[in-house]
Amino acid sequence: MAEYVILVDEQDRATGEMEKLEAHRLGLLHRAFSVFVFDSFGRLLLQRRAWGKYHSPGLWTNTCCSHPRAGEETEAAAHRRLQEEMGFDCPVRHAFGFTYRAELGDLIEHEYDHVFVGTWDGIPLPAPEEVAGCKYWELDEIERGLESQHEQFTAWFRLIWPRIRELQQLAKEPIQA
Amino acid sequence: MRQRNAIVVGAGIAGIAASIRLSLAGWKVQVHEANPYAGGKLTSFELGGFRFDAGPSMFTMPHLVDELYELAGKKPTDYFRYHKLEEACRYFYPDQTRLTAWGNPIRFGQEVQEKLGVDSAQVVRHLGRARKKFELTKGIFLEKSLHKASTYFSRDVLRAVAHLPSLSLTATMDGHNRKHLGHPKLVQLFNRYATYNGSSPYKAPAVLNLIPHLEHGIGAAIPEGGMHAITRSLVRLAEESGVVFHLGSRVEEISVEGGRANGIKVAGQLIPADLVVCNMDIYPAYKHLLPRLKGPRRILEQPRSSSALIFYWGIRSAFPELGLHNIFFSADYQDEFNCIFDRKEVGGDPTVYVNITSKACPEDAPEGMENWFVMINVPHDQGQDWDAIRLKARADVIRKINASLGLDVEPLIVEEDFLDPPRIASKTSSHGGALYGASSNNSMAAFFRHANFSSGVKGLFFCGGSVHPGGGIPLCLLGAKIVADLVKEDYS
Repeated sequence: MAEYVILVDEQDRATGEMEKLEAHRLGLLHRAFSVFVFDSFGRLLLQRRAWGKYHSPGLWTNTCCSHPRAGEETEAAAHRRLQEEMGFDCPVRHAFGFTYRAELGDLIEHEYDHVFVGTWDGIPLPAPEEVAGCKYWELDEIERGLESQHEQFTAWFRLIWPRIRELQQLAKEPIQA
Repeated sequence: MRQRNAIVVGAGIAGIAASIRLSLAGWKVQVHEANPYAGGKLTSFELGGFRFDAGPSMFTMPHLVDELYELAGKKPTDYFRYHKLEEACRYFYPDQTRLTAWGNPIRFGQEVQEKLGVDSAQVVRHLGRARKKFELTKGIFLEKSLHKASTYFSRDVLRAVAHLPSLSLTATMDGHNRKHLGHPKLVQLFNRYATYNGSSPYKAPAVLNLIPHLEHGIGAAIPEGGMHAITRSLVRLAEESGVVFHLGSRVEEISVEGGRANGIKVAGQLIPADLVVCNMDIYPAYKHLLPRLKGPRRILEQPRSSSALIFYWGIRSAFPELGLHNIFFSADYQDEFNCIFDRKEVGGDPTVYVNITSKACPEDAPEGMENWFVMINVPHDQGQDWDAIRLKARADVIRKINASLGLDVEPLIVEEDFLDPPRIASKTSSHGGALYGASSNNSMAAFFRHANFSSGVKGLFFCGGSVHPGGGIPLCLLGAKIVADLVKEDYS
């Protein structure tokens, strides 16, 4: 089944729809989301992308991310993908949105990315075709990983990370949904 | 039909291999590993500009790794490449005799004749005996569960029984080597193979004299990218086969309901499963993960194998006289093993093993430098003062290497770390830091290892160095295969 993404302008206003791979080939700005789930100790649940993914296989990234389908609310899509990819769901709240563009081989990620954060304590049951591994990371551990082995993390995770770190520090407490 | 799901506790090499085999057999497999990394002892770390393999450094029977790729319908060399070694090891004796054990038996024999004045045919014949032992025993001791009645009626076993005399079950490795080899240096060299499973050649049965066949018959190898490449590539194969790894996920309990394993507990949460494969050392597994289950005391109380004291040294010099594997022998080998297994201490003249992967993988050390993995065999942790032992052993090791190489290596050490039995125990849950589970210092030891399944709990299986068929990479891979076969039998 072809998946369609929502094309948007710089203000995240919908301008149309396009088949997912086509949008990525042309590098057209579209709506996306990234979910960051922390546990109550403030550790961040990262997933390692499955080797069969069409881009960034085998890399560590945030809890889950994807695109809302045409006509789908972004937050509803976040819950849908949490279940589909990670095998669990939890309350999330919208933290911020930002635009980024990254060339990943033949494909261009050009997204208006909605960042959601949530808190959940549990063991995910991920879908093997999406996820190769998962682990709750101490934030300092992520910091060290990004310093010494940044190529092990996805491009968008590296971009979003400083803002997540900032939010986490502002909150003093772990981010609560 | 619902896809049945399996949980593997521990991502040691056996757990990884078991996860691959189960996944390929149609199970949905999740691996839970307490460490933030997979691999168990087979891991790697960097220190300054040097890379070190932390644990195992010998790679024999590489076809057992290839087999996993082939099972998955993949080409092994797309994932994992290795090179056969021309020389198995370089030996340095206290009287300055130096000898290279070439992989090729004939060349090895010639070297022995030249250096020790022993007829080269003696070595070739001895390796022939090793081959025979290997061929006779692999079917029973290595590739099948020793603990199923059907094993005892198989053709392999009957054939082996018919050849019992040539298995020399009652003799020790040392006794058998002394009988067949005409030089004490050669006896010491062949006795050393007892350490490949953490045992003493003066106690272990002569059947273990099959081990040299792995190096001189089948052939030893070094993986491209070092030993850790085995872990990395097999984890990738597992993931591609649909296995999901949960790292930093410490299993607290294996849940048993009505005589059947029904999942695990992590952070107080029950994660259900149709079967559980435990790759944790059997001793702490019973103690911590299965506290309500009565463990088989006789099996759990078998004496442990030896442990290791390892120094990782970044050396700012290059030594052409050293190879990938080097042994600096002690003067009194028997006393060294008495020390380890009877007196539970570390003697002043230990045999020193120096492994230098930068000889084969130049990227492991800066140019003109070498990464030395320096190891001595020591008893497993029984409460000794390891800080004191380490400091003394370091000085003894340096003195020994200096005497052999004729220079002072201490000022050449620019990076340093170490691993001792308590550290091994805390990083890998190995009881007392023993490297190979129970020792084989007993002719019946093979029968006293824990089976690859639980006799009281359905759906519970065991793999890894502390259970049948034993420790070391090849045996761990074979154990995983036995588990997959047992699962197939139980669930088909």
